[in-house]
Amino acid sequence: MSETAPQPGPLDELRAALAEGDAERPSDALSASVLAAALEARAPGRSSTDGPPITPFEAFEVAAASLDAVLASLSDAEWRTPALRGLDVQGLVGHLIGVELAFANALDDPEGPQGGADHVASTDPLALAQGGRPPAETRRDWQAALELTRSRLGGHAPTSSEVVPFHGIRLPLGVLMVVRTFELWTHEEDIRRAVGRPLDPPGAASLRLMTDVACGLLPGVLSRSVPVGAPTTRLVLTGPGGRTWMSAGGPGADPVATRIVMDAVHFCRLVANRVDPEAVEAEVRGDRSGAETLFAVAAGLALD
Amino acid sequence: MQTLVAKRGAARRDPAACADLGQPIGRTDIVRAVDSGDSALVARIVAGDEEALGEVWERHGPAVFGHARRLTGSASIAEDVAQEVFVSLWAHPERFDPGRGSLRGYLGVHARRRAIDLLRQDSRRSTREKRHFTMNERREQVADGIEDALELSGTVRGAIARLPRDQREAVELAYFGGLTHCEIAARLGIPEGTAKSRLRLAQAKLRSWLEPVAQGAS
Repeated sequence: MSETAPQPGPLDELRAALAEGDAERPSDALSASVLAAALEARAPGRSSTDGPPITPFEAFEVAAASLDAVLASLSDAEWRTPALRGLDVQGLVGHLIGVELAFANALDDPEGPQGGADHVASTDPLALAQGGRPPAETRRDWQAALELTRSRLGGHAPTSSEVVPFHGIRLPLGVLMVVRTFELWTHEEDIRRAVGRPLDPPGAASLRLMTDVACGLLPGVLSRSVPVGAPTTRLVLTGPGGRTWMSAGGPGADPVATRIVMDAVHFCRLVANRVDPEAVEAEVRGDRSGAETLFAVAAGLALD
Repeated sequence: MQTLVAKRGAARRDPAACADLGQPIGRTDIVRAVDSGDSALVARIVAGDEEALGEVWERHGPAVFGHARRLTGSASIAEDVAQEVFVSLWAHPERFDPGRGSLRGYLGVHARRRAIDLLRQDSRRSTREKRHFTMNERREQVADGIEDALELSGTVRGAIARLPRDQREAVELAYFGGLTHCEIAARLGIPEGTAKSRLRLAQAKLRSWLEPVAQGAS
């Protein structure tokens, strides 16, 4: 096919429709040859529309800039709008200040107490302390906390495999930065929902990192819910940042018992626990219990 | 789990069973094949799901291969055409724009172009094949003339409306509904061979009607 990929006109559609009259079942050898040649031309599993990759640090910066742009646009009344867990928008940004300071401290002292602190409870004092402050001050404090993170990240490689303990989880720094990207995007959407702004999914490069990390974390948590040798689940994430993923069924497992097709952004919202696992929009074929398990496990990945 | 909500656009037909074909399709207000199932399959191909390529091959491979064979008169060239068309779809699925036509039409356009390219490159082809190609290429060129000269949706509609009822039903289901011959057979409750023969008869009539119109217009 040419680069321009001509699209069919009405007569092409008629020709193609009438070609059904010429249909001939191809030989099994041709069918096998077509599939083999296709997989040689492009490996399965990855999206064909993946653009240039970005690093987890870059994805984090993009998410921070996007959230800051939303904060800059809020009126005083919108800052006081209820957003999440009884917090208004300003309190939620206070939570983010607390998370950012704890993260910066974890980078500076991986053996420090912040490594085991509860993600929500440990930030409550800062979240509650925002009440009555001018919103500009809250935003400024969050920006200052971000600067502290940036300064502490200065000595680390963007894809560092150095393990950092943070709020009860131990992940390589590169993965942790994607988790932090997830967090900033999720809370930006919390704020957008609260004040009635349209949701704005991350770009394909960030989404690709997010679906990679989420799918990479699934086997570990699935293994706690699903016995060894359980049937395999195949997950196809469509749209920007999409990919195809399969759980490891293990010895004796069925080849694929459950097939799930869903939008990559919707999947990320599920992983962020912003979609009810019992109301996921997905096409499910085969064993539905495999999908139910996967949805519940995916939603359980969220720190909130 | 209480609900696993199936997206409306994600509903697909089972190419093997040709079952669950839904309600009859309106015949008067659709100007091209509407097939959300194919769009969902291509979205899965974009996501790297090779099973979706297998489903597209099951669904459209027979027509692409058969069309290429009729066009070229050569089974081996038709195999090359079919392989190249489907490998290209897998390598660059984002080039298909579901807003501008059906997947079957898209595959057909590229199969026809590739068939002509391969025949031109094949210096070993027989005189008979040359004649076959020349005849078919002329038909395709005439058809292109129609495309250039006429408002096609109206012209095609008018031609289809003149067909005998049994052939018209088959063509409408294929053209307006995007159904395969297998699905048409199931929808009409007739054998697959009968569905194919009705399409072939319709094909011959439409050619005989459209070619003079095109020649007169050119």
